[in-house]
Amino acid sequence: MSLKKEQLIEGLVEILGSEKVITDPEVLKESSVDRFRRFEELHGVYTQPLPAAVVYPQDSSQVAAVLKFASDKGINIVPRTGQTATEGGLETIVENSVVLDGSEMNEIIKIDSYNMQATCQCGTPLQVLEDQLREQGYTTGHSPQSKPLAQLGGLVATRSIGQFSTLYGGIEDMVVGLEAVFPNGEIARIKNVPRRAAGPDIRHVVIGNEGTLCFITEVTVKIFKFMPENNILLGYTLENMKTGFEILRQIMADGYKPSVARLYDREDGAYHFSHFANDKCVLILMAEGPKKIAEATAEAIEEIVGAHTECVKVDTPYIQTWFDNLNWDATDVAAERAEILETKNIGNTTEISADWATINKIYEVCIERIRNEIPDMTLVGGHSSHSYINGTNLYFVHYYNVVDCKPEEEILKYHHPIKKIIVEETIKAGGSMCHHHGVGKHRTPWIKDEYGSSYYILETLKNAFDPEGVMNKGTIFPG
Amino acid sequence: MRILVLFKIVPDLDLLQDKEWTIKNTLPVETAYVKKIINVYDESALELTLKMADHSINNKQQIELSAFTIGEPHADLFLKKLLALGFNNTYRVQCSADLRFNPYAIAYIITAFASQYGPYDLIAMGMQSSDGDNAKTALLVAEMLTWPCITGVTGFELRDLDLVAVRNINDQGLVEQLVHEPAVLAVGNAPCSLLRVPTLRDIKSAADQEIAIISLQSLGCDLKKLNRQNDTELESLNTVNNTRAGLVIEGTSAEEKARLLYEKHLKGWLSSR
Repeated sequence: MSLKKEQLIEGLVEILGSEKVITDPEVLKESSVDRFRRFEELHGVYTQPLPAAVVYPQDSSQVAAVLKFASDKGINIVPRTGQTATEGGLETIVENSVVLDGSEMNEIIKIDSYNMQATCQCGTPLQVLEDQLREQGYTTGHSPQSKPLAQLGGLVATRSIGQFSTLYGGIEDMVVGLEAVFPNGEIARIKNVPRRAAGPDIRHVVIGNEGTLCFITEVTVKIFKFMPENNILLGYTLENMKTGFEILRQIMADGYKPSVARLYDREDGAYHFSHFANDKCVLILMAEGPKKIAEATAEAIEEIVGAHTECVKVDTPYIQTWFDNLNWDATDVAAERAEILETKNIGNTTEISADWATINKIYEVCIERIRNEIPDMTLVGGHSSHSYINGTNLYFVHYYNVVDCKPEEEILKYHHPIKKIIVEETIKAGGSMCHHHGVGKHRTPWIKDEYGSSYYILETLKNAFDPEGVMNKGTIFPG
Repeated sequence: MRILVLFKIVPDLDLLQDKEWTIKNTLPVETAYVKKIINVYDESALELTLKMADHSINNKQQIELSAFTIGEPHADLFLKKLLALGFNNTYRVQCSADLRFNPYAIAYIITAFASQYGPYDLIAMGMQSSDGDNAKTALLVAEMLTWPCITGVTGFELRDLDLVAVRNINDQGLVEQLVHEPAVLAVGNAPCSLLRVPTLRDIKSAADQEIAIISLQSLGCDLKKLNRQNDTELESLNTVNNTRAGLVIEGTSAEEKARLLYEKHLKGWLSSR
């Protein structure tokens, strides 16, 4: 960076005005990390270099001016909106980075119920959009656990996925167009069309870039008719994950599209369903959509599951109460923080995907290795929550007591070794190390293994769109 | 020293949505479908006891910990956890009756158990549960055992072989008193409210330890008789409206919001005082 910190701040104030350039030390500390380092943060320990400022642009032209300034002066930019990242993507690993926060660009620009699409600025909270849509009888179909907190820009930047993905798809299936600003100040709009065959689909340059190529300022997503009165929620207990994977495979291969398709192992099941699981795996499915489709889907699911005698049906209210409380809002985050501080017990997750032939092997080897190799574990389990025609995801859940180490040593002693086991076993088996949380900064050591020979394409994107390397250094691409 | 900690498994009422707080003819709100947890005050009692035991290990004092509950087999999951955390004995009195509003029966069963399986030097429990809310059990147990009872307990530790330092909150504020055993401690708003988590290794080590399942009959308890002796009857339930008005102050900066808060809402109120 060619500027002194004071000059950097002056430059930002010139573009945005002093009120939108925040240099409060407490804000800077909190903005140097995301949920990955929350154990350190909870203990008031900040190990990452502090950013110089957190800035709040009001429109695309201001975003463009900030990015151009950063690119010209070699300033590292960390883009963010709802701050729900879990993989270190928001960590400021470069001294005097600038955190570019789009949360004040939060207007719902248009809900177009005739063409079934909604256009929002990047800082629009998904919950706000969803609430407005539901008042009009529509839904985004997107419901990640972070829905009460996450905002549209970040959801698209991290290739988010929601609990109803098996029917509605991931965010990449929902985005029809967008606007993004590149580090040279170029503002690019991708128009909203149903489909086109005019070269590669450039939406995918932007979706999932995790702030390493551009800053997303506006998003247009599909909307769907909201018909909760037709929902049919089905739950079962069963003896083992292998059977559960096979049931999910049959449902998908037979062409049915439940909105929810979740399979919990015994450990994760005991955590969520202690009121009925009784040391069993738990399978949860929901059929939704137009009444006839929902009924036909539910009927087919019951038939497929019914062929597996180890499955025992669970009364719907047992599942419904749990499902109604699945999402995390600010109260849940605050409660989790208090709990971690008091018990020194912390839980994290690692999500991967693989084809049907491989997924159970990855599950078994990872669980076994973590149990045997990592100290102080209190829970190792997992669930599948997003299924496809050719495979599914696995969401490993790992809790441990932090024992005999400083807050800043927690990641090295526990979190990294666990992630290493899961990522390496998954890549070795031919799966993907990231299903929906993104690469962040803590899975970059394996990014070349993840991509293999196709890393050439990814790397070329970075070189082309961010030649100065100022966009979220250390995320996706090794620093 | 032998310590008995009493706990109750209750539905996690935070998981119930507003629409589910429906009062029907059957009176109690339907909670059978809700995830179960250890009653929060009991959880504090369990953790405070474990902390006391930690301290005693350092001081080489002998402490035997027993956990006790009344209920159905779904409580065994929690009893197993307590074994993994170091409780020496766990007991469940098999009972499927709804005793939420019968603290007399609960206290009677506890007293019968303590008399048969004791002697115990200290009995600790939460001051009330989230579903019955009677706040009577500890006092009734103390009365039946003719032991002293301290309520509103926020902490306790062993000072000497038979001397326990107990902190509690009463009308005078926070008090610390030295208590000779035996005593009943009713734990209230303790600063430590969460039970520690056993490791997988702890769980494996405790896997072979048995939970003692006890029948009411073996304790000489006749449920019909106990129900007849109950002096409390649930007659009606009413929804309490706890909603409060709120206002979002719109402004472009913290300074502007603070100014608007003062000028529109605080200035007049302050000047009228």
